[in-house]
Amino acid sequence: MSTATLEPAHDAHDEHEHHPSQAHHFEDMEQQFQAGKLGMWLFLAQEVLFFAGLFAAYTVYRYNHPEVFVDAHHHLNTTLGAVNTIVLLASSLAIAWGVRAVMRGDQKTLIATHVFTLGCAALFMGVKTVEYTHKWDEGIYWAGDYSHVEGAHGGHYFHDLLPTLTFTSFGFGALIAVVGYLWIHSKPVRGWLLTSIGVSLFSMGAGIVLAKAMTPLATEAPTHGGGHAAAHSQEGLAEQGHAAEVLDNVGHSTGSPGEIDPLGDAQAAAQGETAEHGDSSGAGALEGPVSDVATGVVSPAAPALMQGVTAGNFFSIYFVMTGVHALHIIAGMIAITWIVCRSAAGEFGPSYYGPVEYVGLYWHIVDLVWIYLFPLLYLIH
Amino acid sequence: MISQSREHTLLETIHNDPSRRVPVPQGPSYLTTPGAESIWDVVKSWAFTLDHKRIGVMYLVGIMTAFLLGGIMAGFVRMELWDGQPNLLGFLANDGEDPVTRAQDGYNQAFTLHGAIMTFLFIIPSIPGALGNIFLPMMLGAKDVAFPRMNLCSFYLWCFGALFFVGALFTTGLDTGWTFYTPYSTSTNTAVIAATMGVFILGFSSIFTGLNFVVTVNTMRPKGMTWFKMPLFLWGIYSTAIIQILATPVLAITLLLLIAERTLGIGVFDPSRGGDPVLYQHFFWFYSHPAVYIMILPGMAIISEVIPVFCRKHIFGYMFIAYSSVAIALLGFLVWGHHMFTSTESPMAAVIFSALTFSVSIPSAIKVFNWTATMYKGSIVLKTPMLYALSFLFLFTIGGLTGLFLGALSVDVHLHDTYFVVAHFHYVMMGGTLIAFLAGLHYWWPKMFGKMYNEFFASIACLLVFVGFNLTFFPQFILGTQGMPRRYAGYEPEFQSLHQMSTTGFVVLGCGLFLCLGVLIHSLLAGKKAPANPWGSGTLEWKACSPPTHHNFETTPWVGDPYVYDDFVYDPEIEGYVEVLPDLARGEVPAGAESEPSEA
Repeated sequence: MSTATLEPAHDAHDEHEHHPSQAHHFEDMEQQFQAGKLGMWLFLAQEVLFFAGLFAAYTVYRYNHPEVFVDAHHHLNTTLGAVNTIVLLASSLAIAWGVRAVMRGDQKTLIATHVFTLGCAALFMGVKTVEYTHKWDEGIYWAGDYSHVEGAHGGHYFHDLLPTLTFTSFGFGALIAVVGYLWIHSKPVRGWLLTSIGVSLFSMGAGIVLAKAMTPLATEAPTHGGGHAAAHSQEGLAEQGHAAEVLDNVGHSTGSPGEIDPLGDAQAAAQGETAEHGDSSGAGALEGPVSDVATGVVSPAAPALMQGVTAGNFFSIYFVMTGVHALHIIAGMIAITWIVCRSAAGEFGPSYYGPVEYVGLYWHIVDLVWIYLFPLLYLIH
Repeated sequence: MISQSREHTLLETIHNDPSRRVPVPQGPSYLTTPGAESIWDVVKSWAFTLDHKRIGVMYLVGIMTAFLLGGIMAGFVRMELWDGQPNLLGFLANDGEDPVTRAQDGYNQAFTLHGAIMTFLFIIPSIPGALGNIFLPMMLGAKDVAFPRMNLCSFYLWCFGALFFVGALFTTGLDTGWTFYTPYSTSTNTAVIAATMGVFILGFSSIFTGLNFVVTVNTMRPKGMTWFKMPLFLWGIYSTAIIQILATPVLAITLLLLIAERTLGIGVFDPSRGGDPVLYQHFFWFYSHPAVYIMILPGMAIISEVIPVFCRKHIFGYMFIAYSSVAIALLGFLVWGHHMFTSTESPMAAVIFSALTFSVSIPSAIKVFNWTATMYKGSIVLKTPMLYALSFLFLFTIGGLTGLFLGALSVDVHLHDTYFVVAHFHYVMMGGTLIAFLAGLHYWWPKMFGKMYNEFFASIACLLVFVGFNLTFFPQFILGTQGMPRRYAGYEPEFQSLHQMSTTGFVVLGCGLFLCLGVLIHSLLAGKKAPANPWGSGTLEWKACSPPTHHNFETTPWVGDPYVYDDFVYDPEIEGYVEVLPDLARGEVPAGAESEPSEA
């Protein structure tokens, strides 16, 4: 028919007024909202299966090498993990509150809750930064590059960068946030964009400071971890009959840093993993002094199949899982910033708030994944 | 079925009273760009289009290019196998001095790229991406898919992923087989990372397409189209989309782990670092077995549309066909272990996987029986789409039945990694999906481009494809049972005659496909203008003009039973079918309006 229009955006035959945010191919706002919501739920289903692969890998490796997992997780700082869990839970609460606010048409709370969520996300990333640098400085990498030696600490390469990073993010974050805040009245979108970026940077700095304040100095870390190790290992491993390992663990962990010296020979041997490994398997079942999993090598009594299994196996999974999760956090931060800008432009209200709800849903799944990661990685018994 | 006398009455009705013809809205074709001042405007309007039909057409061009590329690789493989002496493909090799080693290396690359390109770039996106994109919204009477921008994004992700493959092709090649099995894939020095990155990106393209389709079917069905009044094509595509959403992310994370393994050495699949290469196989087949159904379900969906139209008879067992699509989608997730009978899978697991594998054959057989029953006593019209549909029935049945040999644990151990496997999956994937794709392409071609192709030459092409295909792959069943292993560039002299038959078949098949391409291109240049409904089909896309306008429909069309053909009559004047409006004043009931489908 001749009434057909050429522009794809709107139909000429539409007689009634459309909401400005309604796309041309939907019949009404309700249909558009439901479509978007179903789309988001399906995307979340996809996300769950994406992580499910990692959880499956985790299950297989924990089943195959339970002792590696129990021992290796003592390198993780439970306090920091718990802090991050609380931070993410708070952010989830805030963003849900924001969705409620937009339904009521409360513009102020909508923006405030989303900026708060951004702050929490950045805080999480700051804490994660400290956790990662600690591990890398100690040579705790994935299996291929695992070079950690108990009692000896690396060159602190990454750790040295932390103060600079902190001051930079504090300084720039505060500056950008203030400039943005001053701009809000004249140019709300630009103002809130800058404020969001500023708050994110500032919170990341705060996260780093918080994490540093809550962790012992790097030199003390093994003692902290080791203290737990003794308790856990005795319960967990004695049952499995790995007596040699348990004894050895106790030997390590009851010692204060100064007393680790007697194991100096073990350290020297541990420098070259493979060489040492060959030695210990040749040395017989119970006398190998280097059987601590955390030093890099499994018990010499272990079956041949498990040779070459190091704590790095745990950290392979750890880095992939937390790394992929961190990427999701960053993607979420970008999405939330987008919501803040659109909110500042006044696009959302009780009649149209789909994107706010979809991003909120996404943020909940990111949070939920962490709720599973925290106990699986940090709280192993 | 429609009786002669009723057809005559209908024809008289529309001639005496033109107002009884269901009007076909007219408008400018979606292929044209009104207001374009230069070629640049046209290019821009295509590159940034959000029109699902244009995206579908771009997909069509893309996948056909990929198919050509994969076909050339298949040609290399077949030529190398002519005489059993590895001597042809040295030019594809990376290194090595000895000509035989170089030829063997080149052969590995040729079959890997053939498999990977055909699987990831052609079969998986072919029917959903091209035909599904165009016809899924139209069958719903909708103006577009739910998320047009995501749809365009999905196409560009496909292009981007394809570039990685082409990159691999022109750099160091790829020689892992399309399955990227560890530990070889973590140790070979070919372009594994580029190719797996490509597959990763293609995976997201596939997920976005699937997500879009599920949301579109769920939320945008027109009034009156309940789930069980949907055309069966939608059921098939919907089931496919569910698998795409649920299986593909597992492949994505697997490939991410593989890339991390190669770059960082995380050791998850590396036995020397405490990892497990069999875990890779589990992960891979957890996606790739359901992916087999991503490939075949859309093919079955097309056949379910073509057969009733060309038998002029209501589809037999609508509910069974609809539910069997869903059943295949769900059962497909439970059988991945049958790819791993000869890995270190436990005998118990193998037995269970074998038993579950047989369960998939039930819904597949239900479909075949229902299609056959639809043809029974129908007035079969042997147009090209129907010829392809009949080929599909024949080839898919062979492919399905030989699948039982491979699903049976004890037989599979014998046939594992032989040409029997090669023949089986080509019968299903190519004899099934490709043939169904060609059926759909010929069925919808008039609607897509508004041109009729030459029926005679199109039928000849179909015949050549059918003969060539069987000549190529049937000898491979025999080769396999005689012990010819797959993935070898050379072989013993006793296999030579069968291999030469197979290569000859490839040439015939190639000729058929090129003839088919020629017929279709000829139709674009010099074809007759297509009527709105050349086959007398009842689904909604035929109620738009050929080719459709940008928005498909001015108003949402009236929804009836999609498989009732009583109100369609062939009008020789327009060389197409016309739908006749029921004369409600005289108390006539529209044919699809009864609760029970008419079996007249």
